[in-house]
Amino acid sequence: MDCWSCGAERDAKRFCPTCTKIQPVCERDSLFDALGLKAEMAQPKLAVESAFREVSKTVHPDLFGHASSVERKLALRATEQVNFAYRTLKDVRTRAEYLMKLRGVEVGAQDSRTKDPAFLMEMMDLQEQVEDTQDDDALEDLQTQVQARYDGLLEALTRFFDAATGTQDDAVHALDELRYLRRLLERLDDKLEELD
Amino acid sequence: MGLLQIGGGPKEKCAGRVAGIDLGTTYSLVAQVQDGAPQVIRDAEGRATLPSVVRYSPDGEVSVGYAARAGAEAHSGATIGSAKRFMGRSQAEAQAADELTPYLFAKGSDEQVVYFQVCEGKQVTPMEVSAEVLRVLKARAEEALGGALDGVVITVPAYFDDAQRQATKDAARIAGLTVLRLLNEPTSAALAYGLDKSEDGLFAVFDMGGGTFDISILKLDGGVFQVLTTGGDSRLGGDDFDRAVAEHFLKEQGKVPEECPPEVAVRALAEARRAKEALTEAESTSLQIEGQDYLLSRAQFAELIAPTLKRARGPVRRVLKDIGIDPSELDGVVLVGGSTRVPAVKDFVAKLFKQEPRGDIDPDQVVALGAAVQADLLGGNGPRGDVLLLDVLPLSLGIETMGGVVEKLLHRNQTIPAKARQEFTTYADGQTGMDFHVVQGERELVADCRSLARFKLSGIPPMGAGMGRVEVTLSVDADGILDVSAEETTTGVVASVQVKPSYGLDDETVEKMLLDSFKYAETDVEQRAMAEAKVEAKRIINALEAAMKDDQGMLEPAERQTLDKAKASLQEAMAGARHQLITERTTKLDELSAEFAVRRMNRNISEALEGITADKIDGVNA
Repeated sequence: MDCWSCGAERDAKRFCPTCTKIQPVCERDSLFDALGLKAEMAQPKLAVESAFREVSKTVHPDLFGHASSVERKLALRATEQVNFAYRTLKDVRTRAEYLMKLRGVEVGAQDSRTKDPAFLMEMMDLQEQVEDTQDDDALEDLQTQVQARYDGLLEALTRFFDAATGTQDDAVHALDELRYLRRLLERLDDKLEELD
Repeated sequence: MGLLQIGGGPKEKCAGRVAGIDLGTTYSLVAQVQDGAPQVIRDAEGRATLPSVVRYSPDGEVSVGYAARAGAEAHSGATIGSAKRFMGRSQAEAQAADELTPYLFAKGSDEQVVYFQVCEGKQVTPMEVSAEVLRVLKARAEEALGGALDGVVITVPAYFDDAQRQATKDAARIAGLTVLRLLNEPTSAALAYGLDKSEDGLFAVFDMGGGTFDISILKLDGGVFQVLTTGGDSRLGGDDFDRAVAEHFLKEQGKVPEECPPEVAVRALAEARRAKEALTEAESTSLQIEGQDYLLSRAQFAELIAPTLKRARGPVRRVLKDIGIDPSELDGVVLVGGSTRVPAVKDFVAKLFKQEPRGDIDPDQVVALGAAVQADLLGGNGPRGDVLLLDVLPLSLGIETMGGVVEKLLHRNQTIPAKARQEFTTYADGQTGMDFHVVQGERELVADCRSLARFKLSGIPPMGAGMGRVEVTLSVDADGILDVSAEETTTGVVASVQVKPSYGLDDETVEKMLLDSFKYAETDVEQRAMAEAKVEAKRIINALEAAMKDDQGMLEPAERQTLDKAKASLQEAMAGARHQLITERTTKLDELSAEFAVRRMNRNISEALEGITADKIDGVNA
């Protein structure tokens, strides 16, 4: 790969090692690559946040105010990608969905959604339970339960992606379930707020 | 120029002339970075603030600021304050709030834009009113900086939506300003505050001005100012306190506030504002509403504004929930905006955040100071590398799908600049066009969000249903402003897109407003020449004074007298209105002092040979 500006070999780096000019975003790079992180579920505490800040310090368009229009445009593209990577990877659930996407399965797409009737019934029951409960304490109990289930699924997904434990089908199902549970948790939050 | 050249080469950096502008609801300010520190630029009377008030006289004269406000009560309909509240709003929205109002609205030619009837046959939009304020600040900055501005950073409430941001940019264009960046007010305040204190941690900025309320939480970490979450209400501020007080006393007189004529409203609101400001220091104050005297205590005032203030609670709770922290985990709460001077507001913040808020930087100036710093980073001295602002989108952006439901593509609190794509498929055989509706807001239903733009993608080649695929891209730049594009992807045919913004002055209208203000163009040129002449004159005088102070002994009394006389006549010219005369007398003074300069230079050379460094000499003259 050659630098657009000086023509020297640049080895897929974000900045040309010869002339230091910013390079185009590499389409093959994953969002983990964009932040310089390993493609794993488990990330040290605040690793995503600090990686995001460090990379931003090198590519943010504000730093290219006096550069050429090509460089400004490249900085904007790089920053859009870095911002998207940050948004996707900082939340553990969306991070898991992205890891699954790297394996070729898009969670939430029409054809991948679960059609298991027993599961869908269970989710509807839970939703009704939330709607019907008006008591503060009962809602908080429900919140604790749902949160525990949510966290359990994430732990299972971490074992699947990082330690190859379990099947991909189960992992896809877990991701589907997390989408329902997240909406449920948001609704619980709103209801508790209303009662407050 | 003789005196300036003594002892050293040119040390001017080639930086652009830039400034930061806080375009507020009630007050506006302009600031610049000087010697590395931001400073507010004051007017000739030494005042930092400019009331955001514009008066249109029937004879066509326009006055801005204190002069306009002073006459407000005598000429109500023609005096416009708080135009910011109407930026980017439609007529329906402006009139929906059934309240005491000092304005006369007009129908105008576009329902999406508010028009004020200012005199017979003359209507102005909020953007034109704001442009008048900007023009005054522009002139003030250009005089201080000694030349035309290359660009400005203008601050906006973080909670401003796309239409309000667009409107602000339009106002700047009408005023002939180049906008380097629209910067969110709380972020700007944090920048000024953080740089001043050089303290890392998690900070909340509680920003309540005349008309808008913002709450942001930022992480300050080694020069990176990262906004984690932001919320607010773009129609909540000190104006509402004034209104609560005015309405209370009008009701006591048996009047219906929303039916009061504008002149009554103007008087009552002005009186309420005076009382509010007095109660910052005093325990009680008197006020006169429609000929009757009342006494208002601080406690009673707090009670009157409590329902308004309570509206800030929701947004505060939401931002805390967004990042999942308890207020006690914050390293500080910073107060910004004039309304935070109200003791009841301070108490409210302390209770809500479970800690005493900080207000050690002037809450009126801190936003403008931050804007000056950002302007300097973007267009002045260039990036410093050690300071970076990472801001977020305040409200989600999405596209209407089947059944009036919003599909969110970009989410609130997402770091900007950001871009998202979404694919839509054709639903009918042979379909050649597709309609899109872009909205902004958090609600699920389109009807509850704000409509930003509608557009039609046409020219799709006829195919079976579901075969045509259209990719829509929404991107938000660092100003928080949206750009939309669409493309048919299956066949690779790029079809045309027409985006019709729901709000917006189209380019033609802005051009026309610019033309309307052409009469200003000439005064602008005059003002600029005046500013440049004055700066040059000041430079020569300062250098001469410094030199005379240091080397009194080098001048014969007669020489000294000649120089003093030339200086006095230049100063006299500077007080006048003719820039040609200033330039003439500057040249004269410069010529007269040339001999003195040569003498000093010769002396300096001999001193330098004896080991006195050029730096010291440079320091004396600079």
